[in-house]
Amino acid sequence: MAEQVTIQVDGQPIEATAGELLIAACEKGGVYIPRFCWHPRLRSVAMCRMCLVEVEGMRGLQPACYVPVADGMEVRTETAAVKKAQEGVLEFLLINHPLDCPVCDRGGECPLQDQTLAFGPGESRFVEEKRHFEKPIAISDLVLLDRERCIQCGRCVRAASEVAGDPLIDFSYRGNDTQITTFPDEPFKSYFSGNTVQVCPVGALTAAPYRFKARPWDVSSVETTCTACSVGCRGVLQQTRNTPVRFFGADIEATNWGWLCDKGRFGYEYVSHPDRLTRPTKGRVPVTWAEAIDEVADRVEDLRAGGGAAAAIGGARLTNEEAYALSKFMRVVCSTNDVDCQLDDGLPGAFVAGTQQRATVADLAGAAAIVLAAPDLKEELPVLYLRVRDAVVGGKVALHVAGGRQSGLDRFATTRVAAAADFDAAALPAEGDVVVVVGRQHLGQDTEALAAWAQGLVASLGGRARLMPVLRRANAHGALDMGLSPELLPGRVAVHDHQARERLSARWAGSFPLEAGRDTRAILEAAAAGRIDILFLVGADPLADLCDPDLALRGLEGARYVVVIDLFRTAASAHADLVLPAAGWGEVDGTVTNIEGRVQRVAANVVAPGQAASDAQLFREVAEALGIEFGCGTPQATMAEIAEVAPAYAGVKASAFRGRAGREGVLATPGSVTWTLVGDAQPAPSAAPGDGLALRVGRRLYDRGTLVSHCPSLAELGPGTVVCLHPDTAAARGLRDGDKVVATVGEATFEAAVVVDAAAVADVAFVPHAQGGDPLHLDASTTVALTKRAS
Amino acid sequence: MAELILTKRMLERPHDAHTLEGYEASGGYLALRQVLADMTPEQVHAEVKTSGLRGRGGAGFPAGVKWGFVPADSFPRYLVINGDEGEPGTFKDRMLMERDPHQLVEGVIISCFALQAEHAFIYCRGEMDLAYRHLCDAVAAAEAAGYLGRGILGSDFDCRITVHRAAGAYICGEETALLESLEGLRGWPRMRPPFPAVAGLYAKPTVVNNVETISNVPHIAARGGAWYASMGTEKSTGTRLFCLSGHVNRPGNYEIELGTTFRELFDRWGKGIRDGNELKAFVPGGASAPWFDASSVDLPLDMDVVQQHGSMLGSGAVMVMDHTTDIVRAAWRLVKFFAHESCGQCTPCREGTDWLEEIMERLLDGRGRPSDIGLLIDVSDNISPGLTWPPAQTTICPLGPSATAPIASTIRLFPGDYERLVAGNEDLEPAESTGPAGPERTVAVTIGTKPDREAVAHG
Repeated sequence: MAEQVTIQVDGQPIEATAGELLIAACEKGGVYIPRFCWHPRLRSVAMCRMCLVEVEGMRGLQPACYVPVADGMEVRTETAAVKKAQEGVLEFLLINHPLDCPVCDRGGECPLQDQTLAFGPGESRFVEEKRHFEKPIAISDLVLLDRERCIQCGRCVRAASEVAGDPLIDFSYRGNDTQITTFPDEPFKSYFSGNTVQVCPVGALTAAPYRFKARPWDVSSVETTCTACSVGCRGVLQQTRNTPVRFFGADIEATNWGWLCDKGRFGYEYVSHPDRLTRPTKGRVPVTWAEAIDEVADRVEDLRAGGGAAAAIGGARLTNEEAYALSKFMRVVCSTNDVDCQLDDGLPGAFVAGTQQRATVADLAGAAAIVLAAPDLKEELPVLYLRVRDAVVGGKVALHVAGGRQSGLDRFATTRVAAAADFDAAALPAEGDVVVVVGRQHLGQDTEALAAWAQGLVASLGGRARLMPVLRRANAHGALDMGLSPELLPGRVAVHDHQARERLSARWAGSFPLEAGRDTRAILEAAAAGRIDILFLVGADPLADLCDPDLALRGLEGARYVVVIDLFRTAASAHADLVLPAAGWGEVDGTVTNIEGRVQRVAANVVAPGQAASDAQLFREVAEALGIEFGCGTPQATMAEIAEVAPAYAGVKASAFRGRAGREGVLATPGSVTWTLVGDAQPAPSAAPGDGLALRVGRRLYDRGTLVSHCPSLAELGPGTVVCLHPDTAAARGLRDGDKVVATVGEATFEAAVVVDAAAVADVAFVPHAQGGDPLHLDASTTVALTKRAS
Repeated sequence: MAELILTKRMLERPHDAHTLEGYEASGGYLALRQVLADMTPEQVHAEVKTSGLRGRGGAGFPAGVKWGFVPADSFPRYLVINGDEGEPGTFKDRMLMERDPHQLVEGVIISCFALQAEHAFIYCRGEMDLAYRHLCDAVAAAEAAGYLGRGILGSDFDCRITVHRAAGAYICGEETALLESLEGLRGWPRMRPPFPAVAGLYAKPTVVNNVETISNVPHIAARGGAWYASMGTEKSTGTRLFCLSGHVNRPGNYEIELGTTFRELFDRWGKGIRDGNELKAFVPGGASAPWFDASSVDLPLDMDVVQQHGSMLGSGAVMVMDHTTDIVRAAWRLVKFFAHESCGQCTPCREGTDWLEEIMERLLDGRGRPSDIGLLIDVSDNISPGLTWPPAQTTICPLGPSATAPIASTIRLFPGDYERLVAGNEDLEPAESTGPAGPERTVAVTIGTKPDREAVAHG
């Protein structure tokens, strides 16, 4: 604990921590010192000179963003000299500023406007010609720069280089010509470029998707949780005229520190896409909700009477409350455990839900070491990448990379091995906490073996280990916690757990099997064999995401009755008997659970289009049509019910989300389910036969998935159909960057462009998932043959 | 008159003073041999302290004291020579580097020995091609002769010198900007603390000294600090190179003993003001220094005395202007220089220097308003509060305040020259503000283009 000291600011005592910056200490003590270049999450540079104050015993005026506090320090922030300096700096900043506030995105929420009003001279004495630049210029696909508005504070430069590790923008020229520039022929290609817009204290950097869309006084805002991935970044969603127009990060200590990735920041666009499903359809014929409910109810009634089978795939898009309603519906109404929120593309559900010594994001910075046996975090969990990067960048925390593609974090790694199984725990420091981040590294991976390895490592480290299992999908962790897994019930408990079933029985009026149900693959196998009477696809498309497209197709064709509940038409919805429009992120209230098991609120800010409704509504209404008391009438009621029946979520109550502390959410407590590897881990696949290369398919931040492809600003940012090869691997096959190849995987062939990438693994072809091509049949031993096409 | 120290060799051996042969033939590297044979680093440091040698780059800080700021047990440490001489009117370091580079190299080696530094950098202004080549040749020759490298002259002292050619920014003559530049970064001055002596080049203790300062070191090492301190005044010891330029009959570099008066410099060395004209003003110490008028001509060339009179000896550049000089235009030219060379890091300097230049330009164009004189002073005051010297500053480095020096001093000394330019232009004053009652300032905001006479007049 750092020493607490008292400083005098304008004669008033302020408590502060020794060594913290004067500007931060004053702000906490209620004295706001104006600033432009200083940002609490960025390095101090003392460039803008706006925060000058007088400090007793120090010559001249001192920048408060640079002076550390010391006990007894006497500071004056309101003397004539300070005021003159403040007025002077503001006048200087404004002389070349275009003052085009009426047409500036920042107008109305602009730190330059606000501080000019509060601290400025009121009028300018400048009658010369202002400097002119061509404007705006696009510095990336998403960010535009107006150099006339720029006040050269450098926040964007620091956000890009220090926070994201993408030093792709910097100052060029000097003096009055100083400007922000990208490097020649090198765009500001960063997954975190939007943060520069957020930290810009003027309207110099604007986001292409938001430009001219709204004025700050015309939007209504709610704080919510991003669901572009499962990190759980907090942000503010703004809408005008029922259209989301902007999402920006909220500075929450536990998770995102105010940062967002561009996919999260601009991913709101799909919400208002005209292709959203707006009413129930049966085949191609629109039906009313009442007709749809009746039809599902009839089917379910037949099933209940005749012993047929229902199954549900999906649910990771839902809120916890909706997922709980789905879980309850399948168990209570359909009497089955055949539910799975994963499409054989995550980790064993019980392994994730059963994590005992679970790591928080904040644990990363306090650990002695981090073991990363995870996908490329930058591609799948971008803000977790930022937090890991922050922890390891100064060498404070040792990083050990165990398998996976090379990533931007490798340069900080103390050790790196090609596969998790090769990791030598002797490389870890003898003392201090170790955070093990574990997640599926590529789609065909045997994650049972990976989970067993992680479990073994954690067990060998004893009490100093913390485990962070990471699933990518929005609320995959919450869905598992709500029992959307064949072997789990709500609250991180096993499906056969008598105590848990006893607790549930108070609210769950119905019986369901004691044995674990089928997972997604088994459900589809059963469906293909004609043994599934009703298949619910809840925000899931096996045709796009299952690593066995043939099975997915046979399953959908074999299922007797398919209900798709989704935001958009999907490949699967073409096979559906009934398609129902769902309300999604930004349209429903509730909670979601992130990679840490942190439960955070999501808030509605727009009305869902047409007749789209919360998924929970369908399940409740079908149950009630069958005369079953279902509950779950409102998200609040559902939340209370979950807290009642699931001890792990006992602390998740509406009251827990109130006030400042509530913004950080609530950590769910560990459950009782345990996971062990059944049978032996499969041996590592042997080397690729013949001239085939081992095939790895993994995710990229931008793909052609349903949501991204409905965000116009993001849809084109994916790499396209490419095959990434290590330079040596490419050279051995006579392939060069940009070459066109025909790739053969089993019976499937596709055309792709070669990307020679030093970060690729030798003798492995990496193909990013869902970039417009058909899904491939994948397992750990899949190989690909590449044939160069004559250009 | 004291003897010549720094320029003796180049005057006696104009053709080969810059070569190793010429240097050795005139006693070169004897000081180094003597130091390595007979002296400890502490003894050399003590002699430099005793000499009272003050920095010749501008600030005039005692070199021996500066060396003492290096933390005792922190290694490696570096010596960096500031040869980025780029201020208008200053041209002495160039002569030293071109004509007697070994004197500097020997000074560097001896200084490194005293500082226990094993690596020195000479940051040479990029435009000085000959100086750069002579320095490179000198370092190569010294290495070949065993004066540089491992185990110099049989001692256990290692030293190497890297000559770095700068890329043409005046700001890189500021010591921390120089260090940034040397590290391959943008030449922006650093915030202090930490001071370079504690964390300078590559975050290691670093002493930055001027070319002329270190060129004195071999002489001090050989002949003792007391000998050096016997010249000059009590606190401005030794000789200095003065770069005399402007309206004198014989401009040039002159090595003279400190304490001589400006009048002597102009008359005896400069051979008087040109065409028998009257002296109107002079800049006593480089472009950053506030100006003096003719009444200060009997002040001695003494750092403290000049400072007491509100200016500085600075880099030793003395610029003389006779009574035909357009003072406002001359001041404008210096402001233009600083505006051009502002690095752009701090708001007051980036925006203010350019604004000052534009106001001056408008005055010279006949579009000045009577209120502009007050505006010039107030804008200057917002860069350099109080317009004192040495300056208070709202900026990281003193470049911004330097730009205000010519304006503030000339408005004070020659108000009539400014008033003449704005006389009769009352109609250019902007209309009274019609906005809500605000602060006492009443200049209307003008957005966009240059105001033309009519638009402003009709408000």
